Amino acid sequence: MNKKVKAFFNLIKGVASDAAGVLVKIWRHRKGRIGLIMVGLIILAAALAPLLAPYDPKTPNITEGFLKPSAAHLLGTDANGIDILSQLIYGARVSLMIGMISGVSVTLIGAVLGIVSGYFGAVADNIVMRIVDVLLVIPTLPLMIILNNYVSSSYLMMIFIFVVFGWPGTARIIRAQVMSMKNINYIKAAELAGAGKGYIMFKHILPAVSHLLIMNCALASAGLMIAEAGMSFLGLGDPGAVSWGQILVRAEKDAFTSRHWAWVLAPGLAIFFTVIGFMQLGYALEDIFNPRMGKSGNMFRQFRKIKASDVAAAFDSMDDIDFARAVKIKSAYGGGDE
Amino acid sequence: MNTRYVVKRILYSFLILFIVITLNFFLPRLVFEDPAEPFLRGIPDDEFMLRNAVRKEFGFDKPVWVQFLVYLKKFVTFDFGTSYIYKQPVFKVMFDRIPWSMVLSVAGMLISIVAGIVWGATASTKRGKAVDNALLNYATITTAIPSFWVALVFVMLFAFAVPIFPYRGAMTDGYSLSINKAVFFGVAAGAVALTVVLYKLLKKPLIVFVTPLAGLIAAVFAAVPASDIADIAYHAALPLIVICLGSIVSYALMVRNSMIAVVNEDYILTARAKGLDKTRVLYGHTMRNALLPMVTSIGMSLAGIFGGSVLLEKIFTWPGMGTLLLEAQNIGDFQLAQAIMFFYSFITIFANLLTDFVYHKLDPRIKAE
Repeated sequence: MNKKVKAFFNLIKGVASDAAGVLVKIWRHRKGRIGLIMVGLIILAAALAPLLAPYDPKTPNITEGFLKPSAAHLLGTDANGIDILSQLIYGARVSLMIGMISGVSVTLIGAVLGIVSGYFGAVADNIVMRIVDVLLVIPTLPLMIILNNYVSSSYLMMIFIFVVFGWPGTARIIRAQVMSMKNINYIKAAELAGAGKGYIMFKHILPAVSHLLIMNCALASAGLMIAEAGMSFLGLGDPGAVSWGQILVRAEKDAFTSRHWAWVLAPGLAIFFTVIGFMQLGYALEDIFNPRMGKSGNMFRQFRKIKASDVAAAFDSMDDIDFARAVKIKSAYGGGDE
Repeated sequence: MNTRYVVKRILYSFLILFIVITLNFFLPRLVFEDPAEPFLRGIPDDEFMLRNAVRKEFGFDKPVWVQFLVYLKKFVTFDFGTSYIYKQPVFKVMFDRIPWSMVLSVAGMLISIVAGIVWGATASTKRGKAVDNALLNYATITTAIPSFWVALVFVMLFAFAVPIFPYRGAMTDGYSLSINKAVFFGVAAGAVALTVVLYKLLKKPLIVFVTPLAGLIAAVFAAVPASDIADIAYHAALPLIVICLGSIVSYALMVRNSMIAVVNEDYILTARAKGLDKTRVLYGHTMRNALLPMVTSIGMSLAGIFGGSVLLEKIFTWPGMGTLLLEAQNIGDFQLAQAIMFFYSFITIFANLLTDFVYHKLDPRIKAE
């Protein structure tokens, strides 16, 4: 066998065994197991939607409108006679897609800019933080409502807005952490030994903040799923798609007067279930990947200024007018960067 | 806090405001071919005369830099033109709505702050006990639930399943509110004067918060007939419950965490060692410092107080700023939408600034450079 191919297989094997190791660790973690099961179920539902959904979520069937929950339609049907359970199952796709794509992008951009501005300081820091200052005061929801005048609303647009206005939160968290560890001895030692800035950032700083990044990714995804539901509820989503927010729009119009309670309850509970799953998984991963939580590493705990609850707070209730986000990020870190 | 710092911060705030305004102008022009598109919606393509008239009316026939200057003039003079929906000056339309948003947000904030302080303080003294665990679990749950869905469930339960509360509008018959403006502004001005005098006399920072708030509430009660207040309270009950359910937890968590952080400080130990009793130390020493982060939080939510919540206002058809923004969007009232956007950014930036100054004033440990 070719040497390169062999090396490639070894790499794959290594990654696979690492991944398996992480999965085992998650499974042993109490919150991790709950989160893994919940997120797993949702991902499975989204992936197997065409098999699981009893009806097509888009084909209207006027003769079967406003049916109450029954054996044929477990959650009933909406005004157009579309099965609500099927809409719910397909809705998981939109929620997961938007939440995860924007969550991962927010984390990546925030990580790069946070590490660079925290480690280099000076001009780089100034530029990044001034951009953050501007982005944090632009109200996202009104902006989206206004942009909606120019382009027909779509999920691409929504993800774009989430990412552009989401990364400052992550960047601030990572920057604060990097700044607090910049002068730790082992980093200084590496600098004295002649390590380049890039090497230090990737080999020493990135691993030390990876637990925050992983947790941030999970919590940002969770928060942005809630935001997606809120935006879709305001009609800022893709009008043709089936999402949990849009089920609620139609429920608000028709479910109350037809006393169809399951129609209102189900989408919200689905969001709740998914978000709780992601949050539990995030907390568990933070524990697992935190290098300072090890038995021997307790001396570092004093540097662990940022807690899971702070990150959660930063992404909490983005469906509110979104000043809340700036507020919470600022208050979580005791007034920002002054 | 020296003058240089204050001036620097104020200038910086204006710079940010300018950047936001500029972005607001250039973004649509950079991203899309025709910025006039929203104005022309609904006009057939072959109606050239009409299309050109509309372009001229909104200044799209001029070069971009002239448009930008005209646009900037709007912000400097606070003259956003006439609202297309209401046929009234845009600022008048906005200022008619702000009080409605404030009714909900101020009342919701007061209830949540008081309840949050009580819950958070109790939880911090009883760590690991039922009160504390309840707070932490409740925090996780509220983070994971969209607040607009909670609103929908409450409407379902208390306006339809058990119809106790109304869920549409802020008053039974339209918004025919009779406010005695002279009395309102008289009492409000009195409250401001009283604040200044009291602060000069007593020098307690708490006065700066409590007196204007009490004055505002007194002004409302003096200027609005009691029957109207009762009617509004009845309509506001459901949205208020939803707001409080969501925001109590953030205040409670903040109080709990900062009290836990303060409790281990040396001066608390000193106070206990001096022989002061537990309650005195808790409320006189611990809470005094632990409430400082609350100032930041309250200051930052100023924008929310004036701006309201779009989603909640939509669900309860509350006639506040959030609903106004949606109306402006649905009907294509661009002047109004632009003004609301500016208003939101303006309040956010200057609330940040104000909070910074107040915080520096209250916490002598922070030295402004």
